[in-house]
Amino acid sequence: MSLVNHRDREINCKIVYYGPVGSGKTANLRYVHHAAPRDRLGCSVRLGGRDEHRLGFDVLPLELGSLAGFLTRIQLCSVPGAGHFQATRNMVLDGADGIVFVADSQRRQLDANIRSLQTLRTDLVARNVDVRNVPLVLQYNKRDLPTALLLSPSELDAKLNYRAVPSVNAEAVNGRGVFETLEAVTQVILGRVANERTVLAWT
Amino acid sequence: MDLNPSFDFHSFVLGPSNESAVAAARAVANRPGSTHNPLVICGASGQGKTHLLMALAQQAARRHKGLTARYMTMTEFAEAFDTAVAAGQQERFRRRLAELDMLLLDDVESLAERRDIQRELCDLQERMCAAHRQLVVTGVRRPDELAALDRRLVSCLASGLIVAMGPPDEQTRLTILERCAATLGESYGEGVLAAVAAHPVPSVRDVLGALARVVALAASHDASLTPAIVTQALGGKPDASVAAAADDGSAPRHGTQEFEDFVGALRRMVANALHAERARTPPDVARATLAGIRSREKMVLEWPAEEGRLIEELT
Repeated sequence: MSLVNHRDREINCKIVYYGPVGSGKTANLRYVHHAAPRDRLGCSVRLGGRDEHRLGFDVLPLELGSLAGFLTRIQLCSVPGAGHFQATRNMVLDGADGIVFVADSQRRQLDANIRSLQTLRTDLVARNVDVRNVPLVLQYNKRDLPTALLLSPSELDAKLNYRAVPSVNAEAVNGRGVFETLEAVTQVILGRVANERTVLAWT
Repeated sequence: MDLNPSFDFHSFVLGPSNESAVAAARAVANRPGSTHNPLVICGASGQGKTHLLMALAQQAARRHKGLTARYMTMTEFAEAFDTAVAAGQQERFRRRLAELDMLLLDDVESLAERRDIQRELCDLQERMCAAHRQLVVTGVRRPDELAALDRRLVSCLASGLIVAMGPPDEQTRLTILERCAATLGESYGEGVLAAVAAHPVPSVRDVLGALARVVALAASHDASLTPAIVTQALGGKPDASVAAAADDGSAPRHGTQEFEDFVGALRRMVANALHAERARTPPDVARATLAGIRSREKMVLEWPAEEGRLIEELT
């Protein structure tokens, strides 16, 4: 993981959107893609063929230019939500600097959210990543649905947010909360640069 | 997905913008498979398509004992198909769906990039219609206005009835607000609900959101609810962005500005993080940083755990 490269004065950050099937991971990326000026977009990848789609992940690189003298790139990736895409999820999680867990706020999806969160933990442990130290933000998506169908943010916090990480309410299809989530996760990631023992990789 | 029992025809507020869709849904519920097949309901997000779909299924189930109906979003449909393909059971998946008496699929536009699923849906529609089994589909626009849909699927869906739902008119908005107030057991000041209803919004969700904004503003000012508070909360004239969303429910608002705001915030965060990092860096390490240490091996720079141990080479 090489977040800040002082030699080349670059910041490369990879943010992975994780969550159960249909929670709105791709909707987040789609909104960012729609909102970003064309010159800020790198070559995005969507594997849409019949067979290829089973890999089912999206990659959206953002070229943000020079920030504070460092050429900054952010790569947004979404993992496939279905349980049998283990290999793809591992590939996408590789080198992640931060994770956005996109939870479906619907009451009936609570079990799927919990299972996906457990799968995330398993995937990270399998990669020898300390789950307690991974920059993580929870996004409670689909808040635009009728209130009767939804769990409240406090209920979702009680069920999912046992690490008390930042959480953001969102309606990804309408764009509400998408950039707030992105800002929250980058803040956590960069907070580590500022506050923790930073490890700088030199290549 | 389970049907929400509160989504029935009694709780659906009828208005000029949705009466044709409701009439078609009632007709299909009374005689599934033989009236309008497939039935396609179009309307922007929040205009009540899902409510109508569930109401249709529940009425059909009440009227026809033993009727098998299933509600799925298109995303769930696609995921279920992917899972079936991965398990080598796609034919079983197709058969199970085609044998339902009624299949209700929400948000057809989410199939935009899935040509394979569109073909599946097309085949499924042909099988179901041939067996007089009912298919109901919803989308944010008419199928022929969704450029990403396969022409064959557009043609399949156009073979039935396409009905459109629009933004609620003022009287519908007022009825929605009155029902909401009655459900919550709240009584608002005279003219408050009418003032909220006078504010044009593109969807039912926005009607309730507008009322919530008014209530929140009144609470924050510790003031009673009056039409004046409504004007203060919602503005004197319709929000241009809301009006635009009424025309095109899929269009995000102020997206580019949000992106630039994000980049601005990120610039400040990067500057602060690097400043803090430099402030903590011992001077000799900082010099090494600026010089750019190179090695054949991967070098990792660590803060000194003990004096004299600045750089540790890892192999």
